[in-house]
Amino acid sequence: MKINIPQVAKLANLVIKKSEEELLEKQLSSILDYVEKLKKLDTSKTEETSQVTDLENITREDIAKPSLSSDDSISNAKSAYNGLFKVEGILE
Amino acid sequence: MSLNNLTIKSAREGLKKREFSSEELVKTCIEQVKKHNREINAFLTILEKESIIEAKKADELLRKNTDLPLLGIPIAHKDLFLTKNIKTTASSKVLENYIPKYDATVVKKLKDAGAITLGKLNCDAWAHGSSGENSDFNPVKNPWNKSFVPGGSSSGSAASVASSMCFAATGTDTGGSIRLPASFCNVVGLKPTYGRVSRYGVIAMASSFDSIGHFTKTIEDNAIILNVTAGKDELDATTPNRTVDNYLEDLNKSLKGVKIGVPEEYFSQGLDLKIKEKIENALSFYEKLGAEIIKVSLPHAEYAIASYYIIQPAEVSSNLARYDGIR
Repeated sequence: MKINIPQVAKLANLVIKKSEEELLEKQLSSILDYVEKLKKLDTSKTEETSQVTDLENITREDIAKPSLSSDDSISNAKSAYNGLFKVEGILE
Repeated sequence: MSLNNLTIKSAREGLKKREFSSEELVKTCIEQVKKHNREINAFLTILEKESIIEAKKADELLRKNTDLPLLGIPIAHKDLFLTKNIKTTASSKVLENYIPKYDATVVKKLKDAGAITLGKLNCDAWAHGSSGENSDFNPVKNPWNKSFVPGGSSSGSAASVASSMCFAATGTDTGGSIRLPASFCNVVGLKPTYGRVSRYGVIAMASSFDSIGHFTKTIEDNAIILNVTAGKDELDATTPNRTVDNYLEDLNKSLKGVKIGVPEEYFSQGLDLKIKEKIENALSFYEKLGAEIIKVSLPHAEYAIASYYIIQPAEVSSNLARYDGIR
């Protein structure tokens, strides 16, 4: 399978050396080839499994419960102002 | 025998009989950490002062004959478990300054059972890895032989218990992250059934696989911990409302009438002959104890890893997308 490594690296925001491209392509294609074997499997008679717990629609009463204080909520923020997260403006 | 080499069971008995105090237990463990952590690198955070304060409180309760399953026992948590006001990094530089504001359910349950948190344990970053070498804060070494890997991703958890730095350590298993290091470090590791133990407050890897377990020196100790951690949690919708057995009672049950299925696919190409022999020895041991060994076939086993390589990265990328942008 041909893989465009520079394109994948760009999408993943990774810096990759030209010299690494060949090795990475080989490794990535061998993973994809391995996964390809799923295509050969006949699952027409296999029951679908989408989860293993048998649990469905877990809900609770819509009652407010104690939660983190505003100070605690923003305690890990790099920048905060007046109990709010402070971020760079994204709209003009 | 040094106190840190005891099991949870024997340490609890000694505490109850006032043979030693929780403070002494904590101090010998901390001493062991200080002596060996430079080479083994199992602990990322050591809570020396805090754990001694907690131990003194535990000793106070012990004097009042308070009976809690883990009262006064020093344990440690994989750095994937949120611990209130204690740095939690997932062994990744992305979270190197993260201070959680609440405890994971398991952390809280263990605390409520009287356990004392000695510190936080190194692992493969975000629990992504199988060797313990993939931490952003340097690899963990196997205490039995430091030129070997301890297995991962719960590398520090297995290594810390194997070197008697603590009596038990929490871990997580998505695709082998408890089973591998437990095996590599020769300690008892348990990956419980999915949903048996709450995942709330544990940094997620792949949510449909993540299982929360622990490491101990003996099977009995392992059951003591599971008795505390298992059960329904309103904060994790995958925990069923099923009765939690007393796992200690089951330990001495006869194996008569128990059927153990052995999938023949697991004995195919690639299995090391020495490992095969070990498994066969274990099977004949169970047989002697009364269990019936039955060969079964799991024809889809061959496709498990291929499926895992699709499902796991998909779940990981949605779980980790939330950290994108943290600089």
